[in-house]
This record gives sequence, C-alpha cells and structure tokens, in this order.
Amino acid sequence: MDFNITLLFPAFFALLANMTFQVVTHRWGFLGYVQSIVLGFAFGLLVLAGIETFLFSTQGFTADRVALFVGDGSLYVCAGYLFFQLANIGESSIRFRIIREYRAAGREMSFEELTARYNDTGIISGRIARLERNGKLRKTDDRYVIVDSSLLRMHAILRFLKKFLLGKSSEFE
Amino acid sequence: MIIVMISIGFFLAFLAIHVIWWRTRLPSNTIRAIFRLYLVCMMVDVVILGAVTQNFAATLYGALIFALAGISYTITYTAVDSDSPTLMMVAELAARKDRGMSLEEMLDLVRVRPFVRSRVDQMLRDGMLVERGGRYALTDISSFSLTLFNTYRKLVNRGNMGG
Repeated sequence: MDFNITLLFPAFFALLANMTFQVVTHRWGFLGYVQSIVLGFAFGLLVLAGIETFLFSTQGFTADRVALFVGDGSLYVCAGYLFFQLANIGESSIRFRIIREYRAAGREMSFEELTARYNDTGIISGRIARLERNGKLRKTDDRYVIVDSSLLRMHAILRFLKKFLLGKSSEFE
Repeated sequence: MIIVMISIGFFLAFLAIHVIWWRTRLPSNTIRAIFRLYLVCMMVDVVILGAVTQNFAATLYGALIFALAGISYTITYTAVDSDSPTLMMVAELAARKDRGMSLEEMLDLVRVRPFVRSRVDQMLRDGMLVERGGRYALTDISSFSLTLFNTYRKLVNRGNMGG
C-alpha cells in the first residue's frame, strides 16, 4: 500500500463535514446548540462511512485497509470529541470564564476584584438556570427538585474514577 | 497496519503508566504531570514510528492517532481532577429526592466548596495566571486559549455565556 498524505483525508473530511454541519445549523437557527453538536457528529460519521465504503470497494478487503479503517475511525472519534470539548468548554468552564473576566477588565485584578465580577453565587445561579432550561430541574414552592437524573450516571462514573485515581471523591476533601 | 498498532499500543501504555503512577505516588500537580507524561509518550511514539516506517505520511498518521486519543483522555481527566458544580448540585438534589433544596441551601454548598478560589489556585499552579504583588494577570497561553474559544463562539454566534 502506498503511504502518502492522502491517508489523512477520510478523517479530515469527516471532521470538516461535522464542524460545517454544526456551525451552519446552529448559526442560522436550524438546530439547538446541543442538537447541532450531536447531529454534526453523526453527519461526520456518515461521511466517514461513505468514504470508507468507497475505499473498501476500490482497494479490496486487505489487512492494511482494515487497519486504516480502525485508524480513521479512531482519528474521527477523537477529533469529534475534542471539537465537542471546544464547544462545551465555552459553555461551562469556570477557568474559561475567569480568563474572560480578566480579558474584559484589561488589567491585573486581585481575587476580591475578580469575585466582585464573578463568584460562586453566580456559578450556582447560572447552573440552576441551565438545568431548568434543559428540563433537568423543576422549581416548586421555592424549592428545586431534580426531574431528570441522567446526569447522576456521569457523576457516579467521575466519582469512581476520582476514588480510583486520586483516593478521594472530591477536590475539596 | 503496524502504524495503527504502534499508536494504539502507545496510547494504552500511556494509560497504564498514568494509572500505575497515580496509584503508587500521586503527583503534587496532577494536571502538569499528565501533560508531561502525554508529551513524553508522544515523542517516543513519533521516534519509533519514524524508525519503523521510514515514511513521513505514515509517521504523521500514527502520531495523530496517539496525539488525538491522548489529548482526549487528558482533557477528560481534568473533569476527574476538578469537581463540577453542576454534578455536585445534581447529586445533592438527588439525595434529597422530593424534598428538594431551596436556593439558600444550594448556595450553602459553595460556601464549603469555593469553586472560584480553587480554580484560581489551579490556574496559578498550571501557569494560566501569574501573581504580581497580590494581583493576578493572564499569561500568554490563557490569552491564546481565549482567542481560540472566542473565534469558535463568534463563528456559531454564541455570545459570551460560560462559567
């Protein structure tokens, strides 16, 4: 098999299709943000499947082709996941928000000056609003109740990994 | 075929070294340690791929498999290293079932878990902020990260949410 730079094309074009789909469908209001990311990933996967089908039909079912199929799939899934992280970090990262506050201030700030602009109360209020908007939380008689507990699975996985790798279940322990 | 096997093998070795290291002697700065481990594994991966294949495109392809898989795991690891306020709230709410929590009770959670203080300390350790006489400033790497994220957010017309 001839190894040249075209090896990278299947994963590259699938990722390009994913990003283009996500940006276009969200920017022009066809899909919500999360929907556009999920469907963008699925669209990229379809493009990759199309390219791989074409390559198998022209190059045959060889060991090298199967290995490259695994490689292309790995490249696309990882690149798609990184793109999802890029989108997600802008939504919910505390670090990103702190950086943005410093950039907006345009000067050095003490911790007190930072927390006058962005603080733990703001984090909680923002998260409550987002959970309500996404149907995970409901407010009844001034009390918040969990409606959809799907996030609990993620919490359980992260808690297990924290215990396994760090020997504690919270950074505040 | 060998390029894919070498890179997937290196990724598994990276995970194994990370787990054994963390379980035997937890590094003082875990985020910096995992990034350094990732970079060292990637360099060795590139050298071995280059020596085995003697081909630039094949080396690049294999190196990208390790680079993307490794950075995906490393970014995911930051969620293990730091708590999420959302998941903390969800867990506390689930524990209280139908009784739920008032806003005041939820704010009490962050009085014992100060997220902003914790992240500022982590950013100082990781070189994303620098301290000058009790005041903090952005470093080049954090300014660059912000520019990257802002470019994407402008592209999708997302405005300045976040945090």
